[in-house]
Amino acid sequence: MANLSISTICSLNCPYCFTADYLDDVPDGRRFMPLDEFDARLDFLDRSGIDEARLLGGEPTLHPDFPALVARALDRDKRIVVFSNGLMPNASLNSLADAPADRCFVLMNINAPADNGSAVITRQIEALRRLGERAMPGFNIYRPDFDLGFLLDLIEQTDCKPSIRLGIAQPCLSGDNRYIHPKQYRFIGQQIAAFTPIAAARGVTLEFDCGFVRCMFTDQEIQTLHDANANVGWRCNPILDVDVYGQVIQCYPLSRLGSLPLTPDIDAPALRKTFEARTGAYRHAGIYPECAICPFKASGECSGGCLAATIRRFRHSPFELVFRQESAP
Amino acid sequence: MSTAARVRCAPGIVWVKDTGRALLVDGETGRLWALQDADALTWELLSMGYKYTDLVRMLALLLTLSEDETSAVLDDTLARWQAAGIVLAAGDSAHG
Repeated sequence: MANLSISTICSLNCPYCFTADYLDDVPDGRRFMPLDEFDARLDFLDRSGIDEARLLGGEPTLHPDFPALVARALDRDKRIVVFSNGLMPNASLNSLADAPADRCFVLMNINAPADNGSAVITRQIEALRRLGERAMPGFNIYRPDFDLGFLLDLIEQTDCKPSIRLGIAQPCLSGDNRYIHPKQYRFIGQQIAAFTPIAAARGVTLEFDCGFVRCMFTDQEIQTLHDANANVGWRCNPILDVDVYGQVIQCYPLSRLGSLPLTPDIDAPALRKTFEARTGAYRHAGIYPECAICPFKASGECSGGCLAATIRRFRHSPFELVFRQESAP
Repeated sequence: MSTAARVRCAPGIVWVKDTGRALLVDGETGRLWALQDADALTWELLSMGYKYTDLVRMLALLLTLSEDETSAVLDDTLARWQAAGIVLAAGDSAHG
């Protein structure tokens, strides 16, 4: 998979946004990917064997040519996946609502109503209602006191896909965004496990984004998740992000590890291989010291959490030691 | 005659303390070292800024060795790490 970033601007300012480092570092000037570069991006997906055009930003639907981008991707037989905050211009919303339902999916990131206010949630509900089965809500947990109950009401009101995509806010390498510290994961896990049967009773399933770890749940809680058909996983699979300038990043939180240019001949597996050579050594660790002796980490069942969170554990110690060496007179 | 030698942490090395080990990564090359037992302990104490005599004293206590034995072990460890590129020579100055 690879994400195509088509916008650097957003209509919200979520404190946990994992593009914080990238947006701090990216040169000013290009807010949107130029329309005439989109075909080259689609060529990249083609030669990489990727049949999804995953559009993100910033807020991708703010791109002034968004409907044209959607049309071009559909013409190239791509399935459209959009990562949006739901505050879409009408033309963008119409282009998605008119797309074939089996070739269009919108993951709408929704914060708690208290965080963004009623005007924002009202527009998000309208967008979900228009998109129906093409869309589902996503929720990023960025503080320990979260309540997912409002999403169940929202799903019932809008007839969108009855699922909630849960993410745990992860740090950028700088740590300048808001994120959940791994010490809080167990508490978060208890709350998710308690919510899962409540959601299931209302016909709603949970899906986990990357960065969850197995040990944030007990075996019994994991059974509860499975019983409720939750789509659980303990993975960290950085998905390539192609920015508006045509630079490829391993994953936004890792943007400070550098980028590679999207040249006309390179494909996603080659880019991924280069990035993995840079960061593979860090994979031997995890977000906890105990990951070193964890059988689930050793077997690969659990990745040991987010790579960015893992790399943030590492530090340089600039020690210097003076000692005496005996030498010949 | 003895020579005061200095070693310092190689600039690209970052590390983390895990259960039972110290994991070192060269951020430039992607090379990896997993230090165990006495090596991990030595690295951790070095990173805490211990001076040589204090380091020997502390390691002698923790490894239940004499200070002479510990000093020999430490010199051998530093030589191995220097050969591996984990630490670098930081300039010599001769003493009589």
